Formats: sequence, structure tokens, C-alpha cells
Amino acid sequence: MSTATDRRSLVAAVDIGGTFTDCIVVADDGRVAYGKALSSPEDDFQSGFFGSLEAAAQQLGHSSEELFDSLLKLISHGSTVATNIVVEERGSQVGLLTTRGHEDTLEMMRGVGRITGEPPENILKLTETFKPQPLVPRSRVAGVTERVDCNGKVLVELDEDEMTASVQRLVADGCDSFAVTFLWSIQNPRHELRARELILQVAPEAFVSVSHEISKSVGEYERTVATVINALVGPKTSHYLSKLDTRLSELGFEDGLMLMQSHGGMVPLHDGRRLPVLSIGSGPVGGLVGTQRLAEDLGAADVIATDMGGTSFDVGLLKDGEPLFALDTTLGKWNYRVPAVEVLSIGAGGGSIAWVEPHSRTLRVGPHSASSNPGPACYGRGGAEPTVTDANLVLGYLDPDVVFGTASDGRSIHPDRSLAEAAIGRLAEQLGLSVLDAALGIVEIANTKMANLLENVVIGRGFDPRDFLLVSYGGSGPLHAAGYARALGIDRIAIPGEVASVWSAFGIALSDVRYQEESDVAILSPFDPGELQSAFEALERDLLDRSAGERERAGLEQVQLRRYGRMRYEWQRNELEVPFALGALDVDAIDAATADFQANYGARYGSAALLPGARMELTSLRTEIVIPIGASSAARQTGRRGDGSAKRPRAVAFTRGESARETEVHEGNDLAPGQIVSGPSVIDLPTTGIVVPAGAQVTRSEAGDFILTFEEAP
Amino acid sequence: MSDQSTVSPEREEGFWDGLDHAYIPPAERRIPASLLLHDEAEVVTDPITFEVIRHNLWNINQEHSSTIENLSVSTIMLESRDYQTAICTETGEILFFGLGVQYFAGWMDYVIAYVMERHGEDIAEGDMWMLNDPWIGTAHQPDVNLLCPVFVDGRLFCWVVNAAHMNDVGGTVPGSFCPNAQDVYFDPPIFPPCRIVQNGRINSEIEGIYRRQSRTPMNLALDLRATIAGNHAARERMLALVDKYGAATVKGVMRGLLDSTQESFKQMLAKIPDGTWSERLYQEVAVTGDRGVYRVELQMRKQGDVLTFSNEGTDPQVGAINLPFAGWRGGVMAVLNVVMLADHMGVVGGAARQLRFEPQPGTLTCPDYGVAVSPAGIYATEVGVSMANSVISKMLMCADDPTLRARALTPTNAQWQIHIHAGVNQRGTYYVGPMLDGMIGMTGATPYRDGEFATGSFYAPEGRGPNVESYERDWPMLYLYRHRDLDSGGAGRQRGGSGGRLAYVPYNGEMGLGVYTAEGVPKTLGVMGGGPGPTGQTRLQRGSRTFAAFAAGEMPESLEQVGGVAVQVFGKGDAVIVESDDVLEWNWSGSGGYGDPLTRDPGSVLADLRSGIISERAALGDYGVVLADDVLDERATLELRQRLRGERLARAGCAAEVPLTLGSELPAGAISIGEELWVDRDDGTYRCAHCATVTGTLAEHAKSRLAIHEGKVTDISPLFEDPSIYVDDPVIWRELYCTGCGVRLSTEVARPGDEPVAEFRLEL
Repeated sequence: MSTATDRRSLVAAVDIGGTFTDCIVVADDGRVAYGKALSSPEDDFQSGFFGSLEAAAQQLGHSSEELFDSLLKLISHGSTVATNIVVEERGSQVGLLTTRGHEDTLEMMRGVGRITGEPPENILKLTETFKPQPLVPRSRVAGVTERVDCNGKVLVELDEDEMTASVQRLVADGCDSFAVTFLWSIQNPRHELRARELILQVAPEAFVSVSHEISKSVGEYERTVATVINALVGPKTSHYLSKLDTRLSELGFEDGLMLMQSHGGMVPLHDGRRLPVLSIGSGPVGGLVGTQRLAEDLGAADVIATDMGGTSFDVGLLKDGEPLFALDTTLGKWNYRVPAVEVLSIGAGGGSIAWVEPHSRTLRVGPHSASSNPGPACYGRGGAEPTVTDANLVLGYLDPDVVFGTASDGRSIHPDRSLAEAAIGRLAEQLGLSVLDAALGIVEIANTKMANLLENVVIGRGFDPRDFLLVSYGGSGPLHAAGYARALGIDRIAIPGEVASVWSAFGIALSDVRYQEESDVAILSPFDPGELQSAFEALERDLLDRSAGERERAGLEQVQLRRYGRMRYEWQRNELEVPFALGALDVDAIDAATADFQANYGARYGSAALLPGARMELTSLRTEIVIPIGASSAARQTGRRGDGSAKRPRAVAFTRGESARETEVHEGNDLAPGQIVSGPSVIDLPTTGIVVPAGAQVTRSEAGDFILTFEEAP
Repeated sequence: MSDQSTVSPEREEGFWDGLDHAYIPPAERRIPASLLLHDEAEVVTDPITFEVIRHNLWNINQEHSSTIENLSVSTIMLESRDYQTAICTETGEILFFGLGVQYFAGWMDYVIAYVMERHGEDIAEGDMWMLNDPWIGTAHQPDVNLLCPVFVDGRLFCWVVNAAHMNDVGGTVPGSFCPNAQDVYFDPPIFPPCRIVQNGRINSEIEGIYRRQSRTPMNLALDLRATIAGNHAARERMLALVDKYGAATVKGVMRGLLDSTQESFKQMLAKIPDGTWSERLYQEVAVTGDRGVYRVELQMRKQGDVLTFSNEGTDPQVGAINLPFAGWRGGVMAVLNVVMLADHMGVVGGAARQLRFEPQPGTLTCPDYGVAVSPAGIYATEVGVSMANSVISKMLMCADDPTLRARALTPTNAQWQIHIHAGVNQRGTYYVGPMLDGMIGMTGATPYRDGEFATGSFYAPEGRGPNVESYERDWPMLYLYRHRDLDSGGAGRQRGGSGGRLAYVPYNGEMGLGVYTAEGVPKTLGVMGGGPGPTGQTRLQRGSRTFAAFAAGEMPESLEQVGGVAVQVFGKGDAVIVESDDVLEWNWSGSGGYGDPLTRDPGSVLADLRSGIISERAALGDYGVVLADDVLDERATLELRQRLRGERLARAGCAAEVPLTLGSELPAGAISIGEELWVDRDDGTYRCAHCATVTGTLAEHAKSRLAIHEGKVTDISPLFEDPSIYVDDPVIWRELYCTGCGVRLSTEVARPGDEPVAEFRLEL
């Protein structure tokens, strides 16, 4: 390696969102700098990507030339580009080839297309909710003569002539991207692989997605959705990534672009470009990785991560320091199944609209949202209905001079408190309440809904929320965290410091390269060590194969593998993942894994759920290899240290029936490490703020985070 | 509380006893003095606290449901969401009702009333009561209730309850739908209320008896534990809520919610004229080997703010096609919950206060003790839901409010088409396989919109259809195809949603087919002249060349392509041993159409044709749409439709000149019924909306002056078989036309001697 390469010590992460592109740069001593730029779909996201990097480089005192030419060793990248293509229906013209006789699978949506993604309020509204247009119109779905059984045996050979003719017809119809989903390809991929060859013979430039490479799960509907989404977004994401890569090479940065995946790790560009569906959801997952690091610093193993933005409230859990894996991913009205960290979401955010339920004459909040367009009333962009953000402004929780950079056109917004007050005033009048009481009610109800979701997520998985640290971020989170945490008996909340505004990018910078192989199995206890051993070894061979390049690059000679199995009681749906020992499995190793399962199961679901005599079943095996490559340490603040002085007090309301009082206010980033702020008070942060109720206090940590605790148990 | 949803006053007290007859709580509830009720309620005027508590209550019920979802094991319960959770008040009124199967609302309040009345002294903290007695409260034995009283300070504060469809609880047929049951003693065993949980512990003696009845006792035991865990979680959360806000405050919100839903329901009814709406359909084949046809009636009368339901005219109970009263009431509640009360998120008890039920005992929809009812879940319950759907939708079509009118829907499948096979799977394990492909479902048409294909089952909104791969993994079978069924949405101005069709072969195991659908009498009816959804059929092809075709590189797409010999099967017939070269095909039906198909927008017909929803035959024959070189010929279409309308009248014996184009002016103040009729208040007549001709009089009913043609069921479309294959009683297809323009305003499937159904009788 050249000396120039040796100088390369910076890790950058770039997260392209719908409006902004966030960037963070981490030096090897853990110093950070960050930058933001407007996302730029018009030039394939180039100016946003490079603009944000340049802004961060400047903060560190480097020119962008130096940055690419000699300083950066790694750029990690996450984006919502793929998500937005699907949501905005801007995907490629896709042809779907599937097993003959099953062409309607995608359109049938297992009968849940009407309700998927709908808030619970809408589920019974039969004549107001509809199934979406199919992801691929039926005219571009072609049945192919072929059949494989559930053990992978070929029953009907692939009809290659018919297949080719169908591809030719679809190409003539304008298709430039193809999805292939055959029944049981996960057991025998031969037909799908051959199908790809045949497609490429007809259309050498086409983007081809074959289902067994995207998902290894039983269930053709979900696998078809994942494959079709991959095909819809593939050509466009591949195009912008290639452009980025080319431009980076021109600037002197080669071969170091990594892509964040929904499973919480990164893969090199050449692997990720083929499977863009795996990048969907990578932003929120990045946020969880950042949370993982924050929690480690605080010594917390069990964490509830909450991200409250303008339109949604997202929740992820860390148990024993590790995120939980999702069974399904929902994007819009579609469900699919790929390896993914679980992030659950409800439609509760700053934009949630408050209204009066006409029959009980009581206050409701959501599920309708003013979203970012027109946005809350205070945006002054035509929204007249009162929202949660309007309430926060009226109550003094938000700095009246706060600036939001969230308009859909990227321009910053200076909210108008009088518009918020007028909107809430109209609501308050209907309810016979004062404006302040109505605003307090909106906040209380929003907090209740979020607390209820957390209750379902945490208690529903058999955990006790009081054992958890709650981490709060997102544009609206810290304003509400004390409210919803307290309802659950949680006594400690962490709010990340200065880098919270680029939190996903922060987490992405810390992520490692991660490869995993998974396969669905159906093995009943008593488990045969030999059978498991050979199944794991088969997975590991693939894994070592795939990761060879990255392992070499990282200079790793010995690799650390991990083995996991998803286990359940036979027939039962609730699976738990348990680790398996490495090396040669014997009866003791298997007993250890099953004991682990039983102990966890009993602890989570109670003794009533245990049934002596029920057999255990392994439903999938997974192996993973992690190649440490991300930044190993990163501060959560830039070098700035505050002097700790308070800002000018302002009127803030905390209690219904009382008027607003002059209240202590701090600028968050001016607080000194170790400084304590007692409630009632407010800590202003860029675009948001921390509400510190009476009886609570906030301590600024050495790392720059804000730790909120309650003086007495709630 | 005095239960107002009671019955015909002429029955003597104690008649509805839950033993010989269905249980219906007496007007004056009897609760033993030893059972103390926690019934103090504080009116909660604060609109914020009210909402916070409301959301918490709703959430408790959600959590109850997700606990069951997480722990239950049987696919029938999990994937089709064939279970339900509720919070009920201390006297049993349903406060929050979940998103599971909606017709369970027909009894959750009544079973609580029963336990309080008959076992009140024994109701204690820490217990849970199990029961599946169809004469007390369930649609059939597999739907098992589990009631958990919640005590605060030693007094009964409320109930958390669930009911869940268990995979197999015994009886003559695997899966516990027993179409061959001659009487209730062939059915799965009945458990009257018993304490399966006492003092927080499972009563192993009762559980032992319960498990011993089942072919899949491990499933039963795990599912029982799931429901216990659900109740347990809900009770704990309820106690925490009471602890935080105080019992009287929480109770105040509960009362407030029920009262406001009641008020809202009354306001909706105030926008609808008084009247009676009715529906009739015909069940067939009472039990294995029977070939009869049986009439089922439903009338709903609205007077002011009360709805009264009657089954007068329904045939006597017979065989195994009976619907227990609880299930009949459940059909009504299911439709109201979804169609009228969706805004209330499950607070349905308030509306139930406005309902009266006047069943005739000893009938198909209110049987007395002794007859078999276990197959209700696939035959009779769907009849109940479908008929309730029809009468409630007809009522909404008369509303003076566009929002309500738009909620009217044509009925969805009035039988649950299914195959249940059992045997030994590819892993050598005994299995029972209920194929729930019908959950892929469809929705009905509204007067303003077509029905939709594959939108689930509206009364089990979170139910999910299976993946082909899931069934092939667990059961010894291989699918040949599964897709939208051509022409299966009832023809109409708004077309019914399509059904589906599938075929499979046995594969790598042993299979016997115990339950399968094969019907001759159309039951999924159209509305206002719309055509019916097809019947459910099973086709068995013995000695097929399927595997030879596979070897030859073919993937058969129809039974015609697999060869072999067609073997006629009969609905509710004996179990069929399925051999390795047999092929089975079945379909789930589409929903009924709305309005005359000859009035459908020709452009929509063309779009349906191009999308593969309808055939060329249907486009021309059912819809009268003429294409020239694949392009719509508007003039020829108009003329053909005029000619077809004229021919109808000639056929019905009242030939008349019919207009080329249709349409009439709605007079100010007229009440319109859907988009097809209106009422002239001045002369007391119903008029055709297409030409203003009189169709009936207020003194009679809306259809009394229509021209009638009686034809054959096979006239409807080639999808319909001759009912005489399946039944001996003659069945006809009746079309009723406007005498002025020949537009079809009503359709019926009927026994020839039965008078036309009145459908609409407004009282103005």
C-alpha cells in the first residue's frame, strides 16, 4: 500500500433523505464534523452528496480535494432513494416472470392489500380504503412453464422457448427490468438462474432480479414483492450509484464506497447495487446503530429507541445490546421479508392533526397528518388545522425563533406562533377550553398514543419497560420523551447531543461490514447435531466465499463467525433467535441452545405459555460474519464547549388549568459537561427542544448527550 | 341494566333458557345479591382525560389480541384471525370489540349475562370461564369463549373476554365442521360454562376432558394457553388503568363511550325513513345424503331509532345447516360494526341497545336444542352475515345522507367455500388441513363503485390468505394453479368483486378430503337487479395424467388439460379418499352485482374485458356491449341493449316499446333508493329511476308492479350449474323488470311457488 493510502484515516457517512442529505465525518481519534445539503434528485443526487461532504470537510479545515484524494478511507452510504421511488411510483417498467398458474399472486396480496399500512382507525372502513394498483400491471406478468416442489425437486422443466418468447414480448412492451419469482426457488434456484441467463440473452442491458437471491423465506407473495421492488428501483439506484462511484474515482477515492443495509451492516458497492431492496429502511436502522453506541457508553443493554418526526413515530428495540430482527417489512401497502432490523412505526408525529370527535365531543389527535405539505398551521403554508407542532409552539416548548428546515422544497421555515394559536383557538372553542389547555391536551393525547404503542411493542414481547433506557431523537422526539416515557415507568432518557441532527448518518458511520446467509428449515427436536452442523457449514461456505474480498481488504486472517437459529414450539408462530456454538456441534452444544430458548421463552411469555411435551422446531438458520471497518469511536459533539449560561426565560405552560409561567430556558449546545438543569425548564436544540417537567432533571454528559432522569419514581 | 335487545313479548318468562331454546337475557337481569358490582361511574367532562382513558382502553383490547396472535398456533386462528377479544362492562355490554371476526359480537354480551344469571355466586377473582354451548352463546362448538371477570376492591368492575376458533374440538369430521352430523350428539362436545382457570391456575381435570376430545390436542392446549395469556394481560392492564385514574373515572369513560355510540347510531337512523327491508335465500342439503332446499328469511324493521330483526318465514330446523341464534344475531352485529360503526373503533355495545330480535324458535336461524350446528362456520353463519349485509345495505340506500348511502354493499360469499383435508403429511405426521384460500376474498359492490377482487373478508378484516408455499410445506399437496376466476363477480351496473379458483393434487403423503364445497343453489345475491356471485364448486378428476404432463414439460392450467374422469361430488357428502392421480379444483365465489348490467358504463365493460376480469361472452351476453375490431361500438351497444330490454318484457308477457336511452328527473323531495328507484310521496308510488314508470306502491311494496320472468339457474351464466344435480326441489331464476323500460330492478333465486321478496316497504 502507498503512503498516501496510509494517511487515509477518515470515515464519512452520507445519508440521502427526501429533503436533506446529511453527512458526518469521523477522524480516527473520534473527532466529528457534519454537514447538510439539499438532496438533489435532479442531478442523480450528486450535488447533495458531494455538497454535504464538502460542508463537513470545511468544518474540519480540509479542502474537498484533500478529502477524497488522501484523507478518506471509507464512505458509508445510506439513502431513502429506493423507498421514495416505490412510494412515489417512479419505478422502472418491470416485467414479472413467475410460475405458470400463479400469475395473480402479486395482485391478490394475500387479501390484505386493503388494510396493510392503514392505521387501526381505518381497518373497518370498508368503503373508504382500497387495495393499491398492483406493483406490476397484470399485462406485464408472464407465467412460465416450470415447477419445483418443496424439497427442491424439479417436477416440470423450465420451458426455455416459452420463457424467451415472453421476455421478447415484455421487452417490446418497454420493460427494461425483470423480476423472476418461481415457486420453491429457495430450495432449488436452477430455474431462476437459467431464467436470468435467458433474459440477458434477449436484453443484455436489462436489470434482472431473481427471488432466491433476495429472500430465502418460504412464502411466494412476500418474496415476489421483494423481488419486484428490487426490480422497480434497481435501474435507477444502480445508475446514481454508478455515477457516484465514477465521480469518486475521478476525485481520487476508489473502492471504498459501502452501502448501508436494512440488516444493520454494510456491504460493498458491487454487492449492494444488485440488491437495492436491502437498502430500504437503512436510514432508521442507522439511527439504531447510533443508539447502540450511545447506549454502550451509558452501560445500558436494553434500550427503546424512539424517533418522532413530522409524520411518524418509529420504535426500535435493543435487547442485550443487539437490535431485534423483523419478521416482515412493510413499505406502503406491501409486505415483504428480507433480513432487517425491526423498526415499527405509527402515524404520530409533529404533523398529527387534532380534532373534535363529534359524538363524544372529546379531543382526538391523528391519524390524519398535515405532514410537511401544507404542514402545521404555524408553517403558514395553508395548513389551517391544529397539529402537535402547533401545540408545542403555543406552549413555549419550541423556541418561538426556531427555524425548521423541513419544507418539501428544502427552504427553511420560520413558524408563526400566532397562526398556531389561532388554529388551536378554534379547536379550544369547540371544546370549551382555554387555548393553553387545549394545547396541553393535544400533547397529552399524543404522548398517550406513543406510550400505548411502546407498551404494545415492549410488553407484547414479554419485556418490562422499566428495565429499559429510552433514547429519543428526531425532530419532535425530545419534546415529548419525558411525557411518553413516564407513562411507562421508565426513569432514564438519553437524548443524543449535537450530532442528533444527522443521527442516521452518525450510526451509518459506525456500522461494520456485515454479511449473512440465512435459510429456512423445518427441523423438529430432538435435533441431530450432524444435520445442523452440515447445514451451518453449507451456509458458512457461501458466506466465506462472498466475503473473501472484504476480508482481505480489511486484512483479517481469522474471521469471527456467528451462528443463530430461530426456534419455536412446533406449530407456534412466535420464534426466538438463539445463538449456537461455533465449531463441531455436539449434543451438549445443542442442549445449551435449547435451554437458552426455553429460559427466554418462559421469561417472556410466562409459565402459562409453556407446555410440557411440546416439541421444539428450528425454522431458520443464520450465519453472520462481521468485518469491523466503520469508525471505532465517534464523539457526539463537535469541538465546541458551552459556557453553561441560561438564555432569556420565556413563558411555558406545563399544567392544565394554570397559566404559562416564565421558565428557565437553556441553549442545549451551550450546556457544559456535567451541568445539571432541573425542571420545570426547557432546553432548546436546533429544530427541536427538550421539555423538562417538574421533578425531572437533565445532565449534560461528557460525550455531549443529555440524560433526563426523574427524581422520584413516577 | 335492563337488557333492551330482547324479543317477542308473547313468550313466557324463562322461555329463552339456554337449554331447550337459545339463551336471551331477560328484560330484568337477575344477578345474585352475593355478586357485588363495581358500578359507580363519574361523568368525565374533561375532553382530554376522556380521550386519554379511551385510547388506553382501546389499547388494552389491542394488546389482548396481539398476545393471542403471538402465542396461538393453529393457522385457522392465526391467519384467518378467527378469534376476537373484547372489554365488556360489569353487566356485559360490549365496550371495545377488536378487529378479529366481527360476528362474535352476537354473543359476547349474552354469555356474560348467562354466567352472571346462572353462576353468579361462583364468579370470583382469578377465575376464567370457558364455554362453547351454541344455545348459550357461540355460532358453533369450535368457537370457544373464555371470560375473565375483573374485580376491583372485591367487586366486579368489568370483563375481559375472548372467543377463538379452535382447530379441532372433536365430532365426526376432522376440523370439527361435521356436515354428516345427524344431531347434536354427532357434533363436537358442548362445554357449558366451566372454570378452566381457577385461582390463577389451569384446572387440569377440565383441560384433560377438553383435550381428550380433540384430534389435535397439542394445538388445542397451546391455543387455550394463548387465550388465557390474552385475558391475563388485559386484566393486568385494566387494573393498572383503574389504579392510575380511579375506578369511577374509568367507568365514567366506559359509560360515556357507550352512550355516545348509541347517540351516534340513533342520529344515523334519524336520516333514514321508517320501513321494513327483507331478504330471502335458500340453503340446500341439510346433511350428508339429503337433497332438500330450505328457505331462510330475514326482515329488518326500522321504527324511529329502533331496528327489529325477525326471521319469520324461515323453514324449521333441519340436519346440520342450522345457525344458532347467537350466530344469527352475530351476523347482524358484524355488518353493523363494519358498515355503520367503523368510526367508533369497536365500541359497539351502545348501538346494540337499539336492536331488538324477534326470532321464531325451532327454525334454521334459531334452532332449539338437539340439532347439529357444528358446520355453521362454513354454511349457516355466512348465510346470516350475507342476509344481514343485504337488508342493512338496502336500508342505507334509502338514507337521506350521501355518506350513509355510499356505505351500502352487495353481499359477499354466502357460504364459506373450503376444503378441509386430513391425513399423513410428508414428514409422516398426522395433520388436519383447512384450506383458507377463501380468505383472499373480495368485497361487495356499492351503488357507486365495483366490488374489488382479493380484498379479504370484510367481517374478518385482518385475516390473511395463505401462501401456496406454506401449505405445500406443511401438507401433502401441490397446487396446479390459483388465480382470479373469470366472470365470477356478479354482473351489474357496479360489478361484484371477482372470486378465485385453484386446483391441487395430493403429493408425498396420504390425504382424505372430509369437507368440501359443492352447491347448486346460488346464495350470494345481487342487489337492485345485479347478478349473483357464483356457487362454490368442487371438481374431482380421477385418473388424471398430471404427472405425465409434468414429465412432458407441461403445466396444466385447467382440468380439461389433465385428463382423467370427472367424478361428481355432492356438497356435505361423504369423505373422499384422494388418490395420487386425482386432481381437485375449487373456487371461492365473487360478490353480487349492483344494478342492471345493461346499464353499466360500456367503457368499464371494455376495461374489464381487457383486464381479464370478464369474458367476451359476458361482455356481449351479460352487458350487451358490442365491439367492432376491438373497439367499442357505441351505437350498436345502445341498440343491442334496447333490443335486449325489449325482449325481456316480451318474455315476461308484457311487451312494450322501450326507450333507446334511459334516465328520469328526480322530483324535489323524493326519496331515492340507491340509484334505481325513487318514491313519489304525492301518489304513494315507487318509480323506476331510469324511466319514472311505477314499480310498486307504498301500500304494497317497491316491487309489486314489476314484470316477472322465471327462468333457469343455468340462464344466469355458464358458471352456474343445474341445481337439480344437487337438490331435488326445483329452483328457479327470477328476474323482475321495470314495465316501462325493461331495466332489471331485482333478481331472485327461488322455489317456484314462493312469492317474490318484498325487499323494500317504506313507511312514510
